[in-house]
Amino acid sequence: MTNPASSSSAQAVLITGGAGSVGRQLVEMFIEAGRAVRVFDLPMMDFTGLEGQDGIEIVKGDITDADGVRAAVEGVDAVLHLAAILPPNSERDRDLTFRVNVDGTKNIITALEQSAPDTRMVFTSSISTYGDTSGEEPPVRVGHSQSAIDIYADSKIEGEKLIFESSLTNTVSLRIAGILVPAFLEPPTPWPFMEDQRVEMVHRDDVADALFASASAPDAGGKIFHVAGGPTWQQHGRDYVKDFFEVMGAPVEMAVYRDTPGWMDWYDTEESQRILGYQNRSYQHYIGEMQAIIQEMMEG
Amino acid sequence: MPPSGQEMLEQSISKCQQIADGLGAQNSDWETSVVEIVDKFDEVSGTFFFQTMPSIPPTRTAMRAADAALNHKNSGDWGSFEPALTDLISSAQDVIEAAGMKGTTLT
Repeated sequence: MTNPASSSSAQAVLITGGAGSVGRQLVEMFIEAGRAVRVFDLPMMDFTGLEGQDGIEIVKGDITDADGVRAAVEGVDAVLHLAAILPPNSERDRDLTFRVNVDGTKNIITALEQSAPDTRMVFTSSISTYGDTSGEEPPVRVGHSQSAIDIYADSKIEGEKLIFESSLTNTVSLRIAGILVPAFLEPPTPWPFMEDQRVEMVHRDDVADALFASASAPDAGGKIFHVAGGPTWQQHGRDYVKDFFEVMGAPVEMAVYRDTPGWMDWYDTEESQRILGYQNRSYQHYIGEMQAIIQEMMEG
Repeated sequence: MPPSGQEMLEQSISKCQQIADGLGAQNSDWETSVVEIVDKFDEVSGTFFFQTMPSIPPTRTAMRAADAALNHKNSGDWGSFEPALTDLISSAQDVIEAAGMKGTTLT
C-alpha cells in the first residue's frame, strides 16, 4: 500500500526495517524535517501509524528479494539500512542470519551500483565485531581489527566487507554499541559482559539521532563511525547493573554475568560526535528516565 | 521491611488454594476459575518481575482480593463471595499481564 509522498520522490529516504522500533523513530524525525520517507519492511510487520500518512510510502517486501529491493531503492537519495536479524534470534540459525544480514545488504549494494552509486547508504554495523578487547588499553578505535565471537557480529563483518569492496561512493558504516531502551523491561540473563568489564552503552534515542544525521552529514561519506554513549556512559559492568537493579527495586544479587569477557568496551567516539552530534543524552539522563518510569508504575 | 511482590504472590497462591479447597461443592465454575488462577500464578512465580517494585501494587491488590474472597467463603457468605471472586479474577489478570515483561533492556 502506498501513499505518494507530498514532496518530490527524489528527496525520499529509504529506511529498510522501517516498521521496527528505531525505524519508526527515524520515520517521524524525517517527516518532521520535511523529508519524504519510503518504508521497506516485511509484509508481516505492523504498519499501523505509518500507512496512509502524508510523506510516507510503504513498500512491503523481503530484503532477500533482489527484484523487490531494486524497486525499493528507485529514486531515493539516501538509504538507511536497518533491516537485520538481531541477537538473540541471530544466533539460532546461521544460514538465515547470513541470508538476511549479508545477502540482504548485497541486494541493496547491487541495486544502488546499477542505478545510483553516489546515493548515501548508511549501514548499521556493531561494535560487537571487535570481539573481546578487554585485555587491551581503552578506548577501542575504528581501525581496530575485527574478530567475531557470535553469528551476528560475523554477519556484520561480512556486510562491512561488501560495502568496502563495492563501487558505491557515499557509504557510512555505523558500529553501534549495546542499545539501552528506557522502558520497564527484563534484564538479559546473563548480562553480556563480566562484572569488572569495561562497558559503554548508548541511549536508543541517541542511536536514532546518529542515524538521522548520517543520512545527510556532508563529511560522513566513506567513513566508519562508532556510535556509543560517550564519557558519561563509560563504566564497568557492575556499576551499570547495580544502578539497574536499584532503579527496579530488585536485589542486585540476582544479576548473572558472563564468566568470560563479552564484546563490550569503551570506544573512541570523538570523530562520530564531531560529525554527527548525536550524544544528546547522558547516562544520568537515562537513569532519570528509568526512575520516572518506575515511579509512574508505582503510582498508576 | 515490606513484603516483596514475590512474597505477596506466594501468599496469594496459598489463599487461592484455600479458596479452591472444597469450593466445587458450592459451584464447580468458581472452583475452576480459582484453580486456573493458582496455575497461572505458579507459572509466573519466581520471575524477575516479582522482585521489582512495580510488581508490588498489582500483587498487593490481588492478595487483598484473595483475602476477601477467602473470608467470605469461610463465613459461608456466598452472596458476597461471588463479587469478591470477580474482583479476584480481575486483579489476578492484571498481575499475569504485568508479569509478562516483553523484551530486554539491552539490545
